[in-house]
Amino acid sequence: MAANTIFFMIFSLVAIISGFVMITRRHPLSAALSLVVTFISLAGLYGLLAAKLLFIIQILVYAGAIMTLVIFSIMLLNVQEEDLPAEERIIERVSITTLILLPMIYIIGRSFTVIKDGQFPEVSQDFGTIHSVGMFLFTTYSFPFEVISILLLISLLGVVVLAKRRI
Amino acid sequence: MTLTLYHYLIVAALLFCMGMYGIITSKNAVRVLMSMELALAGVSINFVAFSNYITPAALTGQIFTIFIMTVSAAEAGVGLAIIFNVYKNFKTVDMDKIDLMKW
Amino acid sequence: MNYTVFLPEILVLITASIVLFGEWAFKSIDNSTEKKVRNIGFVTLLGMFAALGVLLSFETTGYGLITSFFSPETSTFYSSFVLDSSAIYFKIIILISSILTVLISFKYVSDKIKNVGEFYALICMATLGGMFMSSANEMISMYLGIELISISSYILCCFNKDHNKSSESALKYFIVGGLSSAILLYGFSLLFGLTGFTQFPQLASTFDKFTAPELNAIFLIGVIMSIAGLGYKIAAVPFHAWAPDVYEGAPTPITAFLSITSKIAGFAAISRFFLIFNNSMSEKLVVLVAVLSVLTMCIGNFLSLAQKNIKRLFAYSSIAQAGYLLMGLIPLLMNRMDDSASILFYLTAYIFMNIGCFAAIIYFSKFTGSTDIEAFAGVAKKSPFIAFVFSCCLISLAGLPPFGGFTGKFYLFVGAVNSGYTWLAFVGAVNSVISLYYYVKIIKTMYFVESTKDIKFELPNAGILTAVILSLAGILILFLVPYPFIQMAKMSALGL
Repeated sequence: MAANTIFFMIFSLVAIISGFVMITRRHPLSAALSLVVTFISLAGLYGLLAAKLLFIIQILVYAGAIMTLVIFSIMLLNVQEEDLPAEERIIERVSITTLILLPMIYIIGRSFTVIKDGQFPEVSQDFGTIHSVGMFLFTTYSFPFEVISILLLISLLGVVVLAKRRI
Repeated sequence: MTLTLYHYLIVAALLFCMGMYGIITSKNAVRVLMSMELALAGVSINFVAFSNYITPAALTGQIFTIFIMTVSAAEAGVGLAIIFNVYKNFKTVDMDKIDLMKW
Repeated sequence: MNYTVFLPEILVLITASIVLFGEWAFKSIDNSTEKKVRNIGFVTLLGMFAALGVLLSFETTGYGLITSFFSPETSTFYSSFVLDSSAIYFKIIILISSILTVLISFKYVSDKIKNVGEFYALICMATLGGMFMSSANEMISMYLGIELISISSYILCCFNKDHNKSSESALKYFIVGGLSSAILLYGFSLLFGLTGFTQFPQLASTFDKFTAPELNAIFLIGVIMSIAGLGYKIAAVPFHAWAPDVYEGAPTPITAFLSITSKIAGFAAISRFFLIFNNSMSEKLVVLVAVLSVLTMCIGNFLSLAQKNIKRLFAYSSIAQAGYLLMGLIPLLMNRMDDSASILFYLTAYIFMNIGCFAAIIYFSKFTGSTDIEAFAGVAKKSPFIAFVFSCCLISLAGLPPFGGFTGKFYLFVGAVNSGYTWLAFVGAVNSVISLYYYVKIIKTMYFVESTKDIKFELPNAGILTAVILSLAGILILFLVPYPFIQMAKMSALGL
């Protein structure tokens, strides 16, 4: 077995298991920490796919910054253990959603078999580096890049408006 | 076993469905937000894998992933602010108790 | 690069910045909230009118309304952004609806909203998102446009911060929005994975090999998930559950905004997305759209019958209207450009009908203190003119002459019949009759039920009065002289 196959199995298993832990734990803090594990193993998957810049961004921005924000807010909300919503009628909920989602997974999984030859082609050395991503981002996709600045301004504005107390 | 596109797509589909499951079933509003991030992470794997597979010369999929990350950061910020506001008004983050109006 | 194509967007963005960062300046001029709101709102209106003027003067509109000063390229930024005649038409109606929303909001905002500058800035930004959606020619730009309008709407829904219902509606909208944008992205990722392109024209050119000889399963899933993600924006039926709660809880001007601007933007995005399909795929999609249309109409109308709260009723009524509008996508998919103008025309009429209703709702509920239909008893005696316009708009929504709603629906049904969907037009007509019941019930409450409380009504302020007069004029003109407007819509539909 090739080395990258082994790494793929480790990373994907860790990602899926910790994702599962995330959606089943009662306390949001344990959920958030297992989501961090998922994101770090996703970074590993990106690395296997030769996405060098994304590998860094995933760890720095996603697992680092965004999840810190989430964990910080969980601490700030400070919901006590006994005030956590009781997961009642859990079997009912689980079975209904599984009934909906299982056929979906099955159909999606089946449809992927259409891809006859899923071998990845050889990529060049600078595939996914900061230089090549930057070249793309500032030429072909410069319009979305401009739009995203407005989006970030909106979210900044929204957080200030919603979270601040009386003027 | 050689590593193919198929394997990545299955991992992505599983993560996406787990995220969807979390959004639908979670009773804690913060976890609903985290489940959204999980679903978007599944989509991101899809994009990166496809980018490597179908456009080895161009980086379209990876660019898309960068945008998804940025948007989900913005979304997380706004979402947490909304959850704060809800918590201030309702004194709970239980999705079942936040139902002055019927779904 | 020619930046004049972006001039309307840039103007709206500048307006947003002025309103946002210049709030302190308005505050120092005058300390009363009412005057501040009026000043800020006036600046917002000015900016939007400027953008509207620039749009009308673009040469590619071909309307000859104003002699053109600019002749923009049709697409720029590596074809991420396209400015064809249909995009211009959609932008014009998006701007008109935002202008009317701002007009009806003055009184409400000065009574209930504390952060005035941010409120109008976010309305500008959401409008901007809608404008980007209508000229997005590529997946990433479309996704960002959708997020722009969605995220600003989440925040706007939450603006009555101390109101439990307002924050609840924001949370619900946020969750449904996040869910559907994830679904949309998954669909986009599959479509991208099959072709390797994100630009719509290039996508369209490669789709042939996925539809023949048999339909590629991944392609089908991708298309269905993308439609599901876009369908939430227009509140089409399987994705409509958020609408009633969000409409009820949100501040009333925002409810108007969601029911008009957001819906128009959704239809702009969907019609642009549908253009990428070739003929063999379109045939299959037509059936899907017809089924969605029937479901949306029927469920929207039947659930409206039982509603007690008027904002909730308008949520279901706007779902039903989305059903009629979906009918207009059928000629578009079948490449019958003449008939696909009907959707543009009906959207134009829809703005005026809905804004008239919401102006009246804001005005009445200020004095009755409630948005229950019962509370509207006897308001016709207190304020005959507004009640009259409200009734006209309701009748127009039900699709009866002599108002624009009738003309619009007529063209929608003719389009469906010409495309071979006579049964669909029939279902639409039956639904219109059903909808008449709950619309007339409101009119009956206003005119024939005696009011139990004795409330004194103040005269409506200038904003509401202007909006009401404009909406009455709009629906009357669209009925009496529809021809130039239909011509305009047809001209724009050619660009679709």
